[in-house]
Amino acid sequence: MPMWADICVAVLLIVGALAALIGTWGMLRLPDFMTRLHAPTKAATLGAGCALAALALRFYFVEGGSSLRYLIPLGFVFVTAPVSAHMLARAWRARHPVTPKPDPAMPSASP
Amino acid sequence: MTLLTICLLPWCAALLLARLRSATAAFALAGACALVVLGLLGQMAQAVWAGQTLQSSVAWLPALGVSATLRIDALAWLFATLVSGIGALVILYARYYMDGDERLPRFFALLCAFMGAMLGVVLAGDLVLLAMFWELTSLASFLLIAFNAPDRGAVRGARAALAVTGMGGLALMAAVVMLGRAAGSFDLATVLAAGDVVRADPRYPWILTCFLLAVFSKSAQFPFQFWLARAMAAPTPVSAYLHSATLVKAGIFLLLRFYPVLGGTDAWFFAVSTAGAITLLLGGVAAVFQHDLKGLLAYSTVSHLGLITLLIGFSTPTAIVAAVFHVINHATFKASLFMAAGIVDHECGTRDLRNVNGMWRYMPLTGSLAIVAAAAMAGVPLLNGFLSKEMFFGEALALEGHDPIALLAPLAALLAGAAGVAYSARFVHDVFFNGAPINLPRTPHEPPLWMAAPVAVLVLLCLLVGLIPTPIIGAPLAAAAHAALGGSLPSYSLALWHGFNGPLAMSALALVSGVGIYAVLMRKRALHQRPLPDPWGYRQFERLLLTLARSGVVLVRQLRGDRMRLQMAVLALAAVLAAGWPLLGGGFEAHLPELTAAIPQGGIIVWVVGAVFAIAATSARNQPVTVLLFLGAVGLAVALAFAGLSAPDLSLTQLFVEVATVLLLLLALQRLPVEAPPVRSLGKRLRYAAIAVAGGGGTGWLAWEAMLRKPPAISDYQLANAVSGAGGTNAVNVIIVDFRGFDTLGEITVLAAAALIVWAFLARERAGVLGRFQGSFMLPTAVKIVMPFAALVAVHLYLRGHNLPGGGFVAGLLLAIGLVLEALALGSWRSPHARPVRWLAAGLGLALLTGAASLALGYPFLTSAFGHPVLPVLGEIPLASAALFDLGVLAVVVGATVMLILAFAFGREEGKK
Amino acid sequence: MSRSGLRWGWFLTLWVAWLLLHGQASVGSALLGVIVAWGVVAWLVPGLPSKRIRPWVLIRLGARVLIDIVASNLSVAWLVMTRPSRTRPAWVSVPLELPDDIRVVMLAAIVTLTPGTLSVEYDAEHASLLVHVLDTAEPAAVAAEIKTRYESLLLELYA
Repeated sequence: MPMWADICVAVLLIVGALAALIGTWGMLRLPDFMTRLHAPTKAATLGAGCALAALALRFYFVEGGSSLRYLIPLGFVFVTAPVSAHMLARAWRARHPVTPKPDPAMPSASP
Repeated sequence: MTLLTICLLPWCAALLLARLRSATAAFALAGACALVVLGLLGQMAQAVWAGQTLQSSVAWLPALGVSATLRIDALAWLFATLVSGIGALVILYARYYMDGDERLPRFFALLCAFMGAMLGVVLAGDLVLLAMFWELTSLASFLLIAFNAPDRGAVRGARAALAVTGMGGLALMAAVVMLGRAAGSFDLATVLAAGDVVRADPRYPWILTCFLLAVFSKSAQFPFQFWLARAMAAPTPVSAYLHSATLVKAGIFLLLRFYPVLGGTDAWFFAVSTAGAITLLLGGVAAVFQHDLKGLLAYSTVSHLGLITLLIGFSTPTAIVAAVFHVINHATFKASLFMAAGIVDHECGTRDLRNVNGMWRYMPLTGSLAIVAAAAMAGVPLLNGFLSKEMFFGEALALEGHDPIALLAPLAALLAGAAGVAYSARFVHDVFFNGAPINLPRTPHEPPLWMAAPVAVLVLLCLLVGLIPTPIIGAPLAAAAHAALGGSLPSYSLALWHGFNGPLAMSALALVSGVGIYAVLMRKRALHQRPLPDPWGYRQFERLLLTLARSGVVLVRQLRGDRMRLQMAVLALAAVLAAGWPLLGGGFEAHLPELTAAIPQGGIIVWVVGAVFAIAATSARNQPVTVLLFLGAVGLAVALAFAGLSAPDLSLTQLFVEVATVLLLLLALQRLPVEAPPVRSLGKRLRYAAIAVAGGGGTGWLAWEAMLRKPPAISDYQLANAVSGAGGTNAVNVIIVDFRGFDTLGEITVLAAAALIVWAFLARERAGVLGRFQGSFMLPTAVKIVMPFAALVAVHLYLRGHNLPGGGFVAGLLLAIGLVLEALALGSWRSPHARPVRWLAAGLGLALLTGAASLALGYPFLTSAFGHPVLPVLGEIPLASAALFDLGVLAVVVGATVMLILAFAFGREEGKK
Repeated sequence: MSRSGLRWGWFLTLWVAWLLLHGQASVGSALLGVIVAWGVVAWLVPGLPSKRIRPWVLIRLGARVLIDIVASNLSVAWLVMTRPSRTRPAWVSVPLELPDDIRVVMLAAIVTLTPGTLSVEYDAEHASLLVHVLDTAEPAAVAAEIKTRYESLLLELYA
């Protein structure tokens, strides 16, 4: 495995781990449920993405092109992360019936 | 081969019938089945009458000395012919009795199944097989008696019958096991020849007790006679069949069958003849006072069964001949009487003897047939009942020794004979004469000709046997009695006229006094106004059931739903005791260094994390969801630990099991008490803590012991032979689907049963609360996108299972989770792909078929074939029949998981369709 | 794209996924993949309405989303590290012009994956997406950005 790839893998792993760490930190520090929901949703995407990319790159030098398969889970993350955030938000709204009114200042763009 | 056909044909017919809709087709099929069986039996008649025994045998459990042997001798032939012959007539009769009833195919299916069970009992040549078919007769008769469920009487009658005969089945199983041990074989022929050994065996009293319990319960002997009267809630064709020729005769058959082995001792004489005598009198007297037409016949059946039992109890060769003869006679006249009673019931809409009077005017044909049959039952000369009753009186008079009984027997016989005449007279007089009918729901008239035809056939038989016994019944009777005796046949005469002698005088006396008793009761004692006699036994039985149910309730109250802590403690304690007992016996040596060397460095961290989550879970006691999340985390830590200890299979499985479990528990939480009251007292806390520590520590200790032991040869063997013996490199999967395939088959069967039970239990529960899942705009779309990929990955996991981590179980879990998600997203059980029952059925069927395929190829059950055929283009393909079995496992896991989770999510109300 | 066209799309996607999963490009696994992919499509073909897609638009959208994901992570990270307790959350309702469900779901997913926004609910009656914004001074601007940056591309997606 060439040096550049080594470095790339290392950087990807560190970035991914950092993203996960910051996401966790955000969960702890953000003030309420809805804001807290933002942090892990995004961190999970980037963290998992970086880790999987690192995996794919590392194993490209072992098994060749088929190492692309390690990117398949990324697709699942992209589909599932928004859905789970959405479901959590729904559940929260069900518990808090006084839902925040949508911004009335927003001009309606629909014809 | 013919024997196998006879035995299996009714079952095949039953399976087919269950799918039919048309009544005519069902009738044709059921009738054809009975006639074919009868024909095949007819083919064997000559050989069997000549004293031959035909046998066919298939090895079944050779290691236990059990084989699926079928055997027919003259006795078995006689009973088989009764079963199939009367079966055919009953089928014809039922066709018209239940005309227009859409349940007719189901009825015929049950009837054929019952016929199959009876033929199995009669033809079984192996004790274990016999016991099995015996159980099947109990089950089939339960379903037949309960045919009119949810009618209260039908349900209660069926329950009583099942409880009593089921208990008898257990007793028979015990008797069979002991008998097999005592005789040294389960093979019937061997056992029949080992009578002396068995009678000398110290276990003989136990064998006899269990055996007689079984026989008496089935043949409604005292004190089990009550179930028979209760079983009259069944449709009349069922009564005609079950209580004339078949179910109740199964006990008699067994008595006759095992007479050469168990009979002839004093214990046999006293037990059998006492029970017989009591039943004979009890039934006879009770029959006179019944107001229900079928009740009268039921008690008369009880009485006649007592008569046969008493004869067998006498233990003399001529008594056995008489017993066999009366079995035949009773079957013919009682079946025709039940059918006639059914016609009356059918035409009048009631069968209350107080209302049904004067039927002679409306149905002279049925009347004359019934009168002849009743006369046979009463023992009027020129009819078959007379002959066997004569023989019975003769035996009672001829009894020697056994002083008190020898004196009492003739008296009892006379009394019973008189009672028999009395209830026969009541049957005839009350139904067909005695004024005009009172308040009938319908205007009666003659039944369709074909409905009376079976009655006519049977009555004709009664007449023929009564008039010219020897040509009609001589040969089969002699052969059957010979087979029952197991030795030489005594001299006896079937002739109508023996000159003036004791039995004739008794017959005459019985006839006269019987008619007299009835006349007195009717005229002077107002028989119609008498309340029904208390059916002795049934009330006691009900009380027993009630007591059992009450004590069950008390027990359940101790462990009820909101006392989960106690439930868990009991479970944990039981596990600790069960596992700890043998463990304490074995030596325990510590090998700490070896173990620590095997632990990967990173593993420790995962373990600590898992432990921390476990402790956290205990502290979040009152927040069930939090506890669940912590437990999920513990599970993930375990999965990681498995991966670290190079057990990828376990890791993968653990991961999916964890997901499914958390899902299941989350849904189950809706049905659990939200808050557990805190445990205040210190003593209780300590107790629970001790149990927890013992449970957890004990499990740890067990694992520790298992890991430190030198691996036993078996696992080495399995690792070494995975490739050569089963063609797979994934030893875990090979063990599951090949080496221990039979275990797995059992396990998936249990899994399927457990899922069905949960499903059935939740049927009455309110539907789950799932509103929050429904109406999401993203979830359904996302699921639609993810599902195909999940299926793809499942196929991938399944296909590579034989060689790499994966396999049917994991693949099934994955697919199940996907399907559950789909159903949840749709907000309905009716997801197009989650059909749990079909998955279960398909999976079990496939697994069984795979196993059976190897049987068909001449290998033992579930032998896996494998090979690596090289196909053009595709290259080498590893193929193993175990893969098909694994597919079965997959389907069962899918079905069971989906069923469990969805049952909790939706309840069954929603999922009925 | 007709229903059969949809089937083909799924079939090819699954087939490629199968090859990737299998990790070996032999003829045997390719054929096996055909069987498996065909089987899964036959069993689970999703009834999603679909039309011909403009690949170029799809690529542009994908690239834009990828860039935004990284950006969103950076901005959220920055926010979390600097002033997590002084966020300025807001609820915004974004009126949409997307005609079909599948694209609404796509937009909702993109919104959640990108900077500081989270789609919560879609009101089909008023065709408006309820979005929660983590930190903004001008909710209206966020809504406008969603519309210009993603919805416009999605509207062009189908030929």
